[in-house]
Amino acid sequence: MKKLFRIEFSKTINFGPVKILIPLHILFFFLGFFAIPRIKIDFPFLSVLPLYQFPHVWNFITWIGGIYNLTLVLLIIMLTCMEFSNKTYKHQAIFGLSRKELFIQKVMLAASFSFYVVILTFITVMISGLIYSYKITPTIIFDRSWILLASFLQNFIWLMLGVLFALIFKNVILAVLSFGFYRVMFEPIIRSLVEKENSWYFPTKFVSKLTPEPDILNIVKDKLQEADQVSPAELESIGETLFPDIPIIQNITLSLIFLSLILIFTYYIFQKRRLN
Amino acid sequence: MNNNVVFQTKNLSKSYGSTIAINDVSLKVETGEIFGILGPNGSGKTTTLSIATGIVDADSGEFNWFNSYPDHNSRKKIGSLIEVPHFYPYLSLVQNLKIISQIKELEYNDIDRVLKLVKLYDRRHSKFRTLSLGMKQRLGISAAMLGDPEVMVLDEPTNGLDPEGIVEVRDLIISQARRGKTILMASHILSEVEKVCSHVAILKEGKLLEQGSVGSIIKGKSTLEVASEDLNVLHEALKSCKFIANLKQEPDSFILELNDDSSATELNAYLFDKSIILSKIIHHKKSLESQFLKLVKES
Ligand SMILES: Nc1ncnc2c1ncn2[C@@H]1O[C@H](COP(=O)(O)OP(=O)(O)OP(=O)(O)O)[C@@H](O)[C@H]1O
Ligand SMILES: [Mg+2]
Repeated sequence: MKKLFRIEFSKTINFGPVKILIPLHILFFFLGFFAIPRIKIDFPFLSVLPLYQFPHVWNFITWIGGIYNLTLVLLIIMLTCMEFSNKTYKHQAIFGLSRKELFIQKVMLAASFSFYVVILTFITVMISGLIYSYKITPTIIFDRSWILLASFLQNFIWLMLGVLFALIFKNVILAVLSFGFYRVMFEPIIRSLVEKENSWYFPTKFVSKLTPEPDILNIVKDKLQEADQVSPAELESIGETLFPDIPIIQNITLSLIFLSLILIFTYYIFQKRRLN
Repeated sequence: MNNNVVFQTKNLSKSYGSTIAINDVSLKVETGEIFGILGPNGSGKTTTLSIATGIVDADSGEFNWFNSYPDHNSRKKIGSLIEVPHFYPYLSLVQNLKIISQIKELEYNDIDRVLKLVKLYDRRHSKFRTLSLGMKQRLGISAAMLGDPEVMVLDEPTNGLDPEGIVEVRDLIISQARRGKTILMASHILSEVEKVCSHVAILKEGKLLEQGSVGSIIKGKSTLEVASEDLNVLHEALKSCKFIANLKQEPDSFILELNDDSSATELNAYLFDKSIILSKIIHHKKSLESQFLKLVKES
């Protein structure tokens, strides 16, 4: 296990696109989150500041992060296809890695990327929350920290889906296009055919909702009424409105089932794919 | 079970679609042999070695390493180079060899040694993609030698090397065998097999034509041309000779093949006993090349 991790680590850390995109990812993560609140928007009732305060900052950063993290999906697709174009899967098998170990390597990589996002999110949330919040208590700070776990699951799922597409197509462009096509065309079209209540049973929906968007309207409404102070009771009501569609438990369950399917399918392809 | 058998295949067959790559190949390689698989392009050499190293699955037949069922762990005991070496192009030579060391669960301290053996030590921090073709090949060989494995599987090991490099690699292979290591190599270069190998298997269109020690394949079939004053007497004497395998009459001489462990001296002594003095005795020592070409044409 440790050996597989070390091998995967040295391949990844020295990979050109990783050396460029990871620093950019970090830069944009921080820039994006710290530059926006500095921009003064002149509508007093449309201040975005609450989004940077505890507890909403948890939702906000994981939600926006969900978009930034597509960079990582691109990277994992490149890293997987690279193994085929360089024939290094064959190479590693010749020297004694089993196909199962090749599979585990990429699972570890996806998990590591997801963990990296958790760290990045945690740091950003803490800095942002501590700078911009007026009221700081342990409860307000950590009440929603479970979102980190949900975000981990979300990133892990998209990354493993990236690996699966890369394995199927063995080609970065095809894999990226079909990943994008699935998320922005295929699924939305199918979804539009079913009734809105049932659209929850689609992966893009239930995985995205693992890190639900902050309920901006309600927050702003609160701000108008309460002039910058948010009472605990208010907080609760906001919390409830955050997940109006399906309960988070159901959401997580569906995501775990989806993840299992991806893992099984990926494992199967690793067993069957011709390495040479 | 013979404990000396390092590698064995039984009736191995593999097709790619309608192309039959190898057909019913049974090989046996013993400890300390330099076993050459010889055959023209497309005869199935690489396919055989790919099956042996677990990157291609055979359709039927079986094979084993060290008398046991092969799995990915048995591959860790083997140093292999199949066709062209494939390393991570953006990693340095040392980083690439570290990855292999990790896979094979070796310490890193053998890396410098193998890099020096193939004269790439000075380039150890260069990226793999910056190497020339021959250097890449040499790195492939150094990777196969990493950890000083008991067995090496080398597919066209001198591919792309300059004349000096070819000699160095052949010497490396021979010195490995002297140390009791076993080498299974494929080559389409006859002189190479003749110079390096102790044993050879000849493949053609996926079929095994012949296998045995290089000596036996050449020696058993080498021919003598003899003549004497009275050809009729000579003919009678040759016909009744026990150690002649094959006799052919030419206008003013006879071409004959001796049995495996007989020599021209013995033949001469035998004829001398019968009071026949040879006026001509020429040893047509067949090279593996002529033997190989004959085999390949015949079948
Ligand atoms: N991946 C593949 N897909 C389809 N056919 C293949 C594949 N690999 C090998 N073959 C076919 O199998 C046969 C044997 O090929 P192989 O590579 O084993 O020959 P070889 O003896 O190594 O030849 P060479 O001396 O050119 O290296 C050839 O007819 C080849 O076309
Ligand atoms: Mg070949």
